Amino acid sequence: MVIRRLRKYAVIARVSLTNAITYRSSLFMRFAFYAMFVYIFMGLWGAIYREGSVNGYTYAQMVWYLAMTEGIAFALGTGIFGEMNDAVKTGSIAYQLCRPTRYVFYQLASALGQVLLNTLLFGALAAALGLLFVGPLPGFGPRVIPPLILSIALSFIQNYFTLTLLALSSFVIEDNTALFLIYQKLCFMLGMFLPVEFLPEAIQRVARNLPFSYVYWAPAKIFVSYTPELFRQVIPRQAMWAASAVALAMLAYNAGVKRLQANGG
Amino acid sequence: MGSLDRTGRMGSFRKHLRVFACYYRLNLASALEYRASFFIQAFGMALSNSSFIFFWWIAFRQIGGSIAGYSFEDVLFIWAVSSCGYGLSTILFANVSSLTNLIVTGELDTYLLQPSSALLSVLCAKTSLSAYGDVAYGLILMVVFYAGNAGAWLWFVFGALALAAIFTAITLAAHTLTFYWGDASAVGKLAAEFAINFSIYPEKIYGPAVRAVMYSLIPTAIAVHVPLKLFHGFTPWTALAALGGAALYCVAAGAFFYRGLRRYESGNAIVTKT
Repeated sequence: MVIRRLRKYAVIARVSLTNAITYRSSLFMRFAFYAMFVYIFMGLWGAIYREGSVNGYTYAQMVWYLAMTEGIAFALGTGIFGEMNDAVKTGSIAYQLCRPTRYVFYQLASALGQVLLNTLLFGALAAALGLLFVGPLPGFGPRVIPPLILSIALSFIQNYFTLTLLALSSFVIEDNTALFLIYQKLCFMLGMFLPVEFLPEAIQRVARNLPFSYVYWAPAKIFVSYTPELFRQVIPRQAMWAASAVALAMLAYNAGVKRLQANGG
Repeated sequence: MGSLDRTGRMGSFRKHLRVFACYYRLNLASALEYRASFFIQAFGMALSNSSFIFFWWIAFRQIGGSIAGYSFEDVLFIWAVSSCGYGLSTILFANVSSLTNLIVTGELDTYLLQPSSALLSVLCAKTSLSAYGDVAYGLILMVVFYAGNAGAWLWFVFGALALAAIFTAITLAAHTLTFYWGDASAVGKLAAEFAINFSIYPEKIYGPAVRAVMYSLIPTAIAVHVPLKLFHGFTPWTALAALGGAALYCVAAGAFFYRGLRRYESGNAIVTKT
């Protein structure tokens, strides 16, 4: 029964992957933006390293860290907030509720194809840029790959369902753009642009106990300085935040659908 | 005869100024029609910009002194100029980024038929709500960090106005390529993104080749980094060169647009514009 249900979503994900491969030309633009951001931040951190250093990161690790966080942002970004927000506000969600699938999981499966393709392509581009700018990442080897994949997958689930939760808030809040912007900037500042270790001690303590750092910092930290101890520290927290995001998003969905009023048209 | 020419030019200038003011009034009225959305978007943009100041605050707190030759106050100055300049450009000339679409769909016809400069009509036909947040943010930074510093305010105003003009000209030139190459929206987006990013970081973080681009092809440095230098140490030649460079670039972008316009083929689209 469960396998039959999963098969439905696998078909949706396969169709989405085929679409992503067919309409791949839009990716070139994103490649250009990605390369530009990595170049800018490499220059910026180069200037910062000429004046001082970052706790626990060499310059090479820092460049790879940025290549990874930017790569995650570009590869795992799905536009789900905008799509779901519009669907709720315009009422078009009513059409999708008739499908023999759960709306939230249907959307997830639809996004997965693009995300898989993006992850492969941006991963290759990140590797190429990192090698070009600072050479191989010291200490990186095949043993890092499984925990890294797990961490990236948890990061995707946490981010995707948090954005779903924020989008579904439009069932009760008329304009929820500010919520999205606040969440986005907190993720940027507590991990994407700045490693948690670079923050002042007091902010570090807060950041480690909030979900935002686990979207970008956790996988990038595992990537640049993996140790089994780090894995034990980070992965359970990532799993906890990812599970919380899924649970809250599903609660919001179930509560929101009950409030839905669809008029003919 | 010369006097008649001058009178004619002044009359035409006044007419275009009236058209410009009229567009601005209508755009503002339409923005204020949806007040909640207007304020949320403006607030969101100011919030988004603040996150970068958090980045710089942390960086300077941890490193101290200067980064790439810029102090924390210098970074705030270039942020204030960039935010205000970009905001002004998109409040007044937001439609420039739709130029490719207008050309490709044939909707440019509507603007060509209007009894004023086609370029002015195209540029001013739309505004951006979030851009008010950009302008407010730039002003707040200046009030908080340079309140009593007349020199800083002078170069801030100079920079913000020059950047608004240059940013519009860069976007216009990039989208004008559509007349020659077909859909150039990607080039337009890339040029705008480069222009913004060249403005908000210390120029020395970039290599010499990129810096050359920042002073020539995408010359935002003239409007952001040069005013900072002038604020620290005024030299009349630098100020004149910056002003001349900015004016020349804008005139060249306008001329490029009108040259490209000769290649435009009407799409015979029937469009209603109210």
